[in-house]
Amino acid sequence: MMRDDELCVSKWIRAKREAVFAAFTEPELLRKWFCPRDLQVISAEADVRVGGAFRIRMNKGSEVHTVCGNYREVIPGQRLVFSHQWQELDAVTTRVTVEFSDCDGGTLVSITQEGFDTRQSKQSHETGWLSVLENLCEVMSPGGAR
Amino acid sequence: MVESSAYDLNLIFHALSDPTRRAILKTLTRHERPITSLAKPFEMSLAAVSKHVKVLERARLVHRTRRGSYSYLSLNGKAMGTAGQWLDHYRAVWEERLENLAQLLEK
Repeated sequence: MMRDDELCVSKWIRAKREAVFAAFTEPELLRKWFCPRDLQVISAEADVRVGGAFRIRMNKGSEVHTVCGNYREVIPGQRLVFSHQWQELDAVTTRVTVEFSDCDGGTLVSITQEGFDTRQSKQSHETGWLSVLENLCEVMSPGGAR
Repeated sequence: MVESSAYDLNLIFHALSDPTRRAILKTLTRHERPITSLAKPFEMSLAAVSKHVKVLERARLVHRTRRGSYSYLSLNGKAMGTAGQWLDHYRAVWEERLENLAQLLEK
């Protein structure tokens, strides 16, 4: 059985692996997509090195959410591991692993997240990531979904 | 329409909604494979692939068998058949509707 404290989602993006990795690591690019579709990114900071921090603020009307964490593993073009916490919500810190692989002339992005305390939180994050990855797809290759 | 109780369509279509899991199923089309070999084509960690395999197992789209120290994964055609039956039902409905439309337009 799948454990309730982890999720895994993936998305195929019509773009080169290096470009998709850059979208995950360059603040000016993160600003364009790193939030669910019904929100907007207000600011993005990312110090992408082991121990470095990231902080992304997003809003929906007057409601502001901030996600932050620290990088645990950084392998350019291949793998990114970071802690993940919502600042305004009193939520547990989870661990996110993003892996990038070449696939059918594009890039397969695979995200796993572990350490949820409730099934509900896991489910809402799963829905959230799928929405975030839709944004990424849109930014990387408009109309290029498969 | 009666849904087969042996297979859960929610779990099946959720499992099929992901490109990595569809790619894993594709590699199993011809023959079973050791789970450890599934990560290779993806440059993805075995840990990540194992999580996707768990989702496929939960939907019963794949079978796991152990031989010696290896676990092998194979397709379970019956689960896929359950999804196929569900789609076929709607295909039949639409084919009938389009046929009716064609007849109407010919008049």
